[in-house]
Formats: sequence, structure tokens, C-alpha cells
Amino acid sequence: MNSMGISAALEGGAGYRAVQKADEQVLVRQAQAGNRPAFEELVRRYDRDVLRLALNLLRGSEDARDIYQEVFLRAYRNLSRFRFECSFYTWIYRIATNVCLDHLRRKNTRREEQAPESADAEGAAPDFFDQQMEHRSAANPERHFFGQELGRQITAALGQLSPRERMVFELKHYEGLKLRVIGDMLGTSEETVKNSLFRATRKLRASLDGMR
Amino acid sequence: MQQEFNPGSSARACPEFESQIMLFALDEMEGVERDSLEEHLDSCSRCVAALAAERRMLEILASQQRPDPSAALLSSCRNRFEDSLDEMDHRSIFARWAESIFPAHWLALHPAASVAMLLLIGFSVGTLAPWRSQVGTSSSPSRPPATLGSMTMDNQELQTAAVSGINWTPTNDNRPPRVEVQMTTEKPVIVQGTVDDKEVKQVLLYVLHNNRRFGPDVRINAVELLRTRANDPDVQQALCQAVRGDRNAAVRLKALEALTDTQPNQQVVQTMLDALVKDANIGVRVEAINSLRAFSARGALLSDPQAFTVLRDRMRTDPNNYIRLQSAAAIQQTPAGRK
Repeated sequence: MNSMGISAALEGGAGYRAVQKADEQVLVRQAQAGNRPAFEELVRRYDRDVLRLALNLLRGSEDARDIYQEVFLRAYRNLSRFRFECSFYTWIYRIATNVCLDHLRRKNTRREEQAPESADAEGAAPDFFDQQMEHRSAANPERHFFGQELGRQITAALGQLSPRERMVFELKHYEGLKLRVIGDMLGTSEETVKNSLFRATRKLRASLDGMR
Repeated sequence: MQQEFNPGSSARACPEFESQIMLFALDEMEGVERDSLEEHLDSCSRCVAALAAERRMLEILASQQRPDPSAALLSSCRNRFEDSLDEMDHRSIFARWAESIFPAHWLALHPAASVAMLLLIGFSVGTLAPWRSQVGTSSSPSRPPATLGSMTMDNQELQTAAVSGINWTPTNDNRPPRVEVQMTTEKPVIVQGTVDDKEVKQVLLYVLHNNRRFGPDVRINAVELLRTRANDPDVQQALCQAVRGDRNAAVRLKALEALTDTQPNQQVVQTMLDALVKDANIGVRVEAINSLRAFSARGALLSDPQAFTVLRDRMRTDPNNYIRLQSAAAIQQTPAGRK
């Protein structure tokens, strides 16, 4: 990789993607051979995405920290089992979605026992939407108000979805992934993902109708 | 206003097309299924209304995009994870060493000897560790960041580098601003110069091409700086890629703004048309139609039948009133539109 020219790495399009993929394969092989800096480089490529997913799904920075830790430790322990049958990105996201689903399921079962998180905590819902709508609608107080209210309603409605529906909805609408890719990550068919998304969308609409 | 923010508005589609409308709005449909739905939409006002409601919901969801985690949170996660890796590595080395010297069954069979050995190890570590740590500290003074001016970074360095910030100082005359890119490789590095310098340009382009590795603030700064060189083919390609692929709407919007200043060509026009049609964020789509209007006013869309077709389609079907109006205005400026 060192000998590869910088211009090749900086080119856009399919050629660039091929270089990037080859580079990633080299890193994975180095990491599998016990090269820790190579593994840390792989982590740095994807950890922001994993953390964002965890933060948005779990809505608390403490949970998100735990998920980050668990995802990458699992990846480290199981790296030797990675056989290049999918991209490393898909593999890491598969681990991340499994860990998040476990947390969501556990969280659902102990929801009543848990004290609500401080509104000031990072990733907490009010801050999140406040911040978003602040940027968009500062010039229009009425719009700002409706935007905030809607943000709260959507957050509450998403809380009514099952963990799997919530995951599919998040990956599609907020991570912008194709349904086929989501299927790969969740180890299920595209058809099942479509059904989950359809159910999630219907539930969301129904919840929002009910809140009006 | 209330209507605009009402994603749950219950426009019901024909039951057999309900799930297909969702997929159509998400651009997840192709082939025969898509054709048959489009045919149905030509004659079914209920499904057209349901599609509009679906798109409205998507716009609202897109308008509430999730921010990236803060740098502080990311950094604390990384530190904690690296500590865990250190601990794991250390534990596995020690376990292997201990196992090779004293197998587990030996320790079980000789409890008194085991206790004596553990005391001895504890004493040795307690005596030697402070001395060792002093030696370690004194031999590693903190190093100031290296500054790169005309030197080049190799690919490996760039691949492993993180950009922690981009600063620039505007100049009084027309010369490009002085840029300083703070990078962390194995040691801190600062790349200095103007965007006309090859090294600075390469780093900024790298940031845009590898958008997943860098924060949105860094990417926005990279777009802002590259704007002055937007007619450079490499820069133009990176800006087009940012419009198409960056996950942050503000970066996509900024890149569109930068492309508006360029000499129009087919790649740029196509990127704007795609953003107008496909982008999930209404702000980006509005910027795309504004850019196309600007191109149209400069006569850049005169001979582009593809642009005419897309604008006509937006004029008729776009759910956003502003985009419909601006599409109509842009069409008026083309020869085909004047007919």
C-alpha cells in the first residue's frame, strides 16, 4: 500500500473505490495477523457511524458508549472469523446492529425500572431536536414551534416500534441505506426488511395521527 | 403551516398499492413493478395523494437529520476502547508467560509454593515499576507538531491521518487565503499553504473523498476552501461526489453552492438534476433548483434536453411549491420552453 501513488488513492469513482477496498483488505489481513495499529485504523474508519447509530437508537450517551465498546471488542475477538464474504463495513455494522438490538430488547423489558435520563445528557431527545430545529427555523418562530413539537412526537412514536422495526427504520431513514444492504446486515431477506419497514411506517403514522 | 408539518395525514392509497407507494417514494422500486405503479398513478388520484403524503413524511424525517456524535464523546469512546485493548493484550501476554512457566495444575498441587511465588512477584513489581515508569517518562518528551510546506505525505500517512481542524486567514488582495490543516498521524502534522498548493489541495480533496472519516465541520471547511478552485476538474469531481454522497445535508448544500460558480458542464448539470430529483433533504433540493436557475439564466441549459425533461417533470409533479415555480421559470429560459 505504501508504494501506491497518492494520486491513485485520491481519484474518485469506481477506480477510487477499488483502491479503497483493496486498501481495506490489506488492513484487515494485517489486523488478523495481530497488527494492532491496523485494527485501530479500521475502527477509526467506522466508529463514528457506529456511535451515531447507537446514540440515535438508545438515546443516551452512556448506553452508546457501552455499545461502542461491545461492538469493537467483539470485532477484535472475532476478527479471525472474518472471511471477506462481505465488506468489512457490512460485517462491523452487522455486529453493531446485533448489539444494538440486544440493548433495545433489554431496555424495553426494564423500561419501567429505569430512571429517565437527564435532559442535558448528550443524545437526549429534547436537546437533539431543539438543536436541529434551531438551525432550520430560527427566522420563523411558528415553524420552530411546530418543528420542535413534531420532533417530540416522532421520537415518542419511534419508541412504540419493536426493536427490529426501529432498527430498520433508523437504518433506512436516518442512515440512508438501501433495503438490500439492511437485509445483509440483519441477516435477513430484502422482503422481510420491506415488511418491517412497512409495518414501522404504518405504526408511526398511526401514532402521529393519535397524537394530533 | 400545521398541514405542512403533518406527516400522519391519512391519505390512504389503494390497499394493493400501499406498500409499493412507500417503496416508490424511497426510490426502492424498479422494473415491471415500478412501471405498473406509474401507470396506476396516472389514473388514481387517491394513490397520487398517498404518494404526496409519503413524500411529505420523508421530507420531514430528512429535515430532522441526526447530528454526528460530538468529538468529545467519540474521543472518550476511543480512549476507553484502547485501554481495553491494552488490558486484553497485557492479560494475554502475562497469561501465556505464566502458563509456560507454571502450568495451572502445578499451582493447584503446590499451594504454599504458589503463595510464596505470588508474593515474590508482587514485591518485584512494586519495587521495579516506579523506577521503570520514571525512565519511560523521562525518555519521551512531548514533540511539537511537524509542519509540512513543500513536503509530500505518502498515501499510508494520509490513510491513517485524522484531520482535527482547518483554519484559514483571508488575504487583503485577490490571492487565495492562507490555509492550515491540522492533522494527527503518528505525530501531529500541520499542512500549510494556499489551495493552489498541491499538498493542501490533496488533503482537502482527500477529506471530501473520504467523508465518512471526517466530521461535518471539517468537510464544510474543505468545500468552502476548494470553492475558489471549482473549475479545476479534480475539485469539480470531488464537489459533485459531495453533492451525491455526503451524508450531511449542510455539506451537500455547500457543495452545490460551490458548483454554481463553475463553468457549467454535463457532469455538473447532471449532479444538480440528480440532487433536485433524488435528495431527501428539501433544503438541498431548493438549492439545486436555485443553481439550475442560475445556470439557465446564463444560457447553460439551452441545449440540454435531459435538463428540460427533468425540469418539466418537477414543474408538474414536485410536492414543493417553490420548486414547481422555479422549475417553470427555468424552463421559460430555454428555447423549448419558449415555444
